[in-house]
Amino acid sequence: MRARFSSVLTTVFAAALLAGCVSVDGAAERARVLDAAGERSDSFPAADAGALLARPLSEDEAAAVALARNAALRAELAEAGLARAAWAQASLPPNPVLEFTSMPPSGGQASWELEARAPLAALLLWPHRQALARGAYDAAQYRAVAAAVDHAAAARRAFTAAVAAAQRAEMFAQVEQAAAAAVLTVEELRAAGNVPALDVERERALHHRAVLARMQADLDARQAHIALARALGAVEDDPRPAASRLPDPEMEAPERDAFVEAAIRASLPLASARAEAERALRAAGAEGVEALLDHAEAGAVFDRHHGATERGWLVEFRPPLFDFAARSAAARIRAEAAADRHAAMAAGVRAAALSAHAGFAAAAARARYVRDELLPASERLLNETMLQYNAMQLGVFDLIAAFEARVAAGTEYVDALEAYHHARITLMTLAQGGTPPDASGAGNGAAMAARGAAGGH
Amino acid sequence: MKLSRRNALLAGATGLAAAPLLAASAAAQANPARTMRDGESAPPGVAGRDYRPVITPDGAALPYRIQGGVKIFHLVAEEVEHEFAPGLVGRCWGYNGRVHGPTIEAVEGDRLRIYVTNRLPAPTTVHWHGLVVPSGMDGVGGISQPSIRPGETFVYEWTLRQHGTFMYHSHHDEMTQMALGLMGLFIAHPRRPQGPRADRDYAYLLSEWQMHPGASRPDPNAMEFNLLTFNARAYPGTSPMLARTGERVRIRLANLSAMDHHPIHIHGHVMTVTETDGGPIPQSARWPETTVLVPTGSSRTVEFIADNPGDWAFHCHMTHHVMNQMGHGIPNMTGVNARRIDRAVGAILPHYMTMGHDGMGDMGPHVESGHMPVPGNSLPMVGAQGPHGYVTMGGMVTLLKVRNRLPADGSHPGWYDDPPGTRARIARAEELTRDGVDPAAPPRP
Repeated sequence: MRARFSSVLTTVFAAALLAGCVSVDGAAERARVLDAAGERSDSFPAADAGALLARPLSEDEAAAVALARNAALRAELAEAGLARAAWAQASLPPNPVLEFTSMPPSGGQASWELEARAPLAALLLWPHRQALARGAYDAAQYRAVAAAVDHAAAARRAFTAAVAAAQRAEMFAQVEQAAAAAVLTVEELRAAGNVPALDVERERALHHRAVLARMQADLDARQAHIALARALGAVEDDPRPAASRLPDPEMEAPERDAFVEAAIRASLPLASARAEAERALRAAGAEGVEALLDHAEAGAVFDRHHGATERGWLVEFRPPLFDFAARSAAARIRAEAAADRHAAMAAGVRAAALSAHAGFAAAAARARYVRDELLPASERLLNETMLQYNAMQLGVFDLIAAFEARVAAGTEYVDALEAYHHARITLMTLAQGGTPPDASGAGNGAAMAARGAAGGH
Repeated sequence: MKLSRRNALLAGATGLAAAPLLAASAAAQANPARTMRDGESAPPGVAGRDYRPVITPDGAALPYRIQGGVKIFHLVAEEVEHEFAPGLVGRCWGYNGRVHGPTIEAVEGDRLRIYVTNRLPAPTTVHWHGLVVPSGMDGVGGISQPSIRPGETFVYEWTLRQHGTFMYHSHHDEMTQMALGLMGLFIAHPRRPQGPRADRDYAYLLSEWQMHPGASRPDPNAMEFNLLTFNARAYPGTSPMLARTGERVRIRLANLSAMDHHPIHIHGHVMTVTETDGGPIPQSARWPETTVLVPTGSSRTVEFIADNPGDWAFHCHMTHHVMNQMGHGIPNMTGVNARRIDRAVGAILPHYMTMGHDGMGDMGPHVESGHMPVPGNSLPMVGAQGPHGYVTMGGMVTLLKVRNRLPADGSHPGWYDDPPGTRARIARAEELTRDGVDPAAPPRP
């Protein structure tokens, strides 16, 4: 009996030692996640973000700074560390319960009782719970990598928006300058006695509107700049984009079906949902045993009474006479819900990939159309207006209006380029496994997967 | 052969030839533009024998042949590429490859048969403006005749029972077809000329167009016109009239402008108005003019002795009619501070230059020098370089060149060389002092 008891304890401690192999280190876990994200997105945290911030940034550098500096991202990545800690915890044997009872001495003899027991479910389902924790960790890691990919993409979008807003502000300043020139001209005409006051007021009203539009554009540019700084985790550093112009729409759209399949294969939210579904299914499979043994304990009893020592076994069992069926059903429902979420996510990712592809193709086509057709047309319009002005068929105000039309075409190009680059980033993000921008059909990727995780054990 | 009214009545039942004679004869009784008696006939008039052909500057005469005592003409209405002046070509509608159509010349009493072939994409007709013809030959689409459809050839035939300066033009969709150029001169010479014969007989058809600078087709929808022409040419594209000193010059002016009359002014001479399209003005009723108003749809004939050698402007005196392709919807820049505007607008448009602040006179030289590009196929206010500077006129302008001698080949004699002391110049200081003129003195009432 003694020998058997000893062997049980030996087994428990050995398992505990083995379980200790799952290490928990938050910094290492974050590095693992960022490496995985970098492999996918080619965006790695900047080794020296401060040095980068000291000079004008490219879009890639902005993403690198964002991965290195953003506290919100670090908080999101901590979830993966917590899941790893939970996995490490699940890898250890359940803690035993030791109960010691001492009775008042009787007849000069001390009486005491020692019970050592362990939860049977935890012991028997130890590998099972370890596997569940591993599944939860996998899902959390997918979510964390997705968060990093998304974060790099968000930084790129903020970069694009900041450059575009600055360009727009420049253009509205040009319109204001043109309106001011028109006012000066009409005031000269008025001073020469050539036009009524009405004409002056008309131009002044247009100038006032131009000033207001420029003020709004300035504010928009400032806000976009702040948003970029925030996305980079560098509000104090005043990050400056290196380019004053958004790049031309050079990227060709990938082949659609291949892109969609690649996006589905790469999707991290989908992988997370898959891990959660598998975990829920595994949990549901063991729910019957869990229900039976949930409160069952077994152990040894040592009793010292009147100088005699007795040993015995202890078993405690609470039969699930009334809630067994409900618990099993709940576990089954959770498994089905997780499977449905996975299916919905798969459909959502496919739809998002199709939508992103269509959106990119349209945005690229629009940007190229504006570049190749509208911009040259507005340039030609201005040139032809100049010719007609020289021929004295049109007046100076027609010329200024044509200039404003050219600026408007330039603004249109900035809008189109901004839409193109956002669409490009969305396309790239999906190819890298990031979260679909609008996964409403499947629930928001990371958040939905997290809900699934919260619903399980 | 003499054709009495009775004979005409008898012949009338036999065909096309006789019926117009009857109508024309009856209608012609009250027409003063006749030198032939009622019922009188004559062989087809021949140039040199019966008349001296008119000169249609920048135009041409329509050839004819005589068939059975009838003068046969053939007009072909078609699209024509026409040069209004060097640098401005329009896709117009004309006759026989010309805009305007060639001048038809005939002699009072001629039997005329004029074929009209329509090669236009639209129906057309030809109306013989001012001519007394049988009703069915009047050429008014829908009233006198069915319009001539594309590809069809109609024939008009009548006997000319008057003389004078007349016109022909489309009378189908007149606004469009006349705006595109479908018109020409019709000169009827008298069978028995009265009074002194002109040494030079010039004929002009006045018209107006809207040619948007840079466009290549006249705009028939326009009610404002930016190109005013003598024989469909705008200065500096007009050829000058030539005369030797002492010659009698006749100028026939016919106006088919859409919306404007034209007061035509001659420099250096006094003209006598001798005829309208209604006929010759009796000697006692003729009046002297330096400017003769030619209403639209009318003709006026003037004569004068070219007794003043020189280069003389001959032009419409409506000032907007002596501007080529002038825009009218632009701000009045006269008197503005161009420098301030140049700075403000030049900041956004580096090639900008304020124009019109000191008038339009520099426009032509700027354009011609090439530093101020204008739309292709346009003549924005372009004039021409003259012997003493830039001529700031365009449009309905030409020159009368009177010389004691002219080149025998009829070519341009060059610019007039004023005899010493007969040209305006800068006043010399001693002249100003002598005459008590102080240019810096404040103006006196």
